[in-house]
Amino acid sequence: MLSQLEKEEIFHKLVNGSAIEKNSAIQLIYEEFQPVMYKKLRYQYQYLSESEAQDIVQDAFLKLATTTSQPKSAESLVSWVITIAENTALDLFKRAYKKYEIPLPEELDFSDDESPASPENVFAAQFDVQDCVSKGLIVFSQKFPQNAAAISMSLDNMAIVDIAGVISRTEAATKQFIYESKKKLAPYIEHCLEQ
Amino acid sequence: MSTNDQNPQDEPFSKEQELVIKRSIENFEKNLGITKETPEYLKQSFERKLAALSQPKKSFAVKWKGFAASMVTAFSVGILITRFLMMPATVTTRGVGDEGVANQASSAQEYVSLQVPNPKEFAFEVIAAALDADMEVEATQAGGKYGLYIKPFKANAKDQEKIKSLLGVNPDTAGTVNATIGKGKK
Repeated sequence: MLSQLEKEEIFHKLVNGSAIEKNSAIQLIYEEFQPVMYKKLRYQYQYLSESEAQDIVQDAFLKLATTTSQPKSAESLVSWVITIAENTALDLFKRAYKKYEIPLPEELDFSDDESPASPENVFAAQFDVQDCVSKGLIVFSQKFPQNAAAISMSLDNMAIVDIAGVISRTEAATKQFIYESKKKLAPYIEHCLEQ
Repeated sequence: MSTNDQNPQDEPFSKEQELVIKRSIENFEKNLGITKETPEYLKQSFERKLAALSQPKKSFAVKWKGFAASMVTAFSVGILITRFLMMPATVTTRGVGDEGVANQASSAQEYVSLQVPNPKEFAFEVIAAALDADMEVEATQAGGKYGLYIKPFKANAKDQEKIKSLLGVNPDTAGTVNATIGKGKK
């Protein structure tokens, strides 16, 4: 992620720079934050095509060029970027889902009574642990997209402070969130790992 | 920057189990198009979109002028068509003096064409007669010809006898008369 010096430079270009400098700052922001922003949103909205989802994320970052708001400081740059891009993207994803008449993630009914590990899954696990984990992960990511994305960032060895910036939590709250997310994931895959 | 330094003994999964989970996540994310770095084609397409966004937009005022001009043109053409449609089927042509034989069609709007030796003088004579009869007159002149638009004519009105006589229309003419006065032999 961005160093403090890079944040300072981008902040200066966004606030005081010429139109060209502002565009180069936004380009840099997109290149830096696209992977995590796309990951976070893609876990939540899995039913669009990849190109449509990428277009939405691009349009969300373009909002940084048209918005009248500005980051207050270099320190608040990341939260400014994440807030604007994420809010814009969420709105665009919801519109796309409505257009294709896909139920929104929050409208999906996941029954909590249903056991994550069905006998069929246990049987399949005897043949392929990796496949079994993948199946459990897919179900888990649909039910808890934010938790799944946080686990993914954590397993990518992303710094806690950076994950905290992306999921808009404090570092301590982020550590706790990742820990709880892994505990939530356990019932979906532990039958595979026990084999 | 600090890395993920959660206490290992608190971790719900062992390192080996996390490796299996990580591999599954990588496969899953590959299907969703999630990458660790921004792909080059996305960087380029974003740069193009950003540049397009910075292009100055065409002035709305210019478009508005065009729209206004087209509206005026359409309105003018509309008036011409309306006038054409309202033109009576029968148009009477008359002369004055020796050739001036009254022959006309009765209509709410009557067209009269007159040929006289001195059109200007005759046009003023008609205008004077119309004004004497307290009527409205619109006059135009082009190429030595005079166009007079006179109204309202009332059937058998005493004060309009002179102008009706000059124009060669019947005493019972009512409505409007469009008169064209040109130069002709007496």
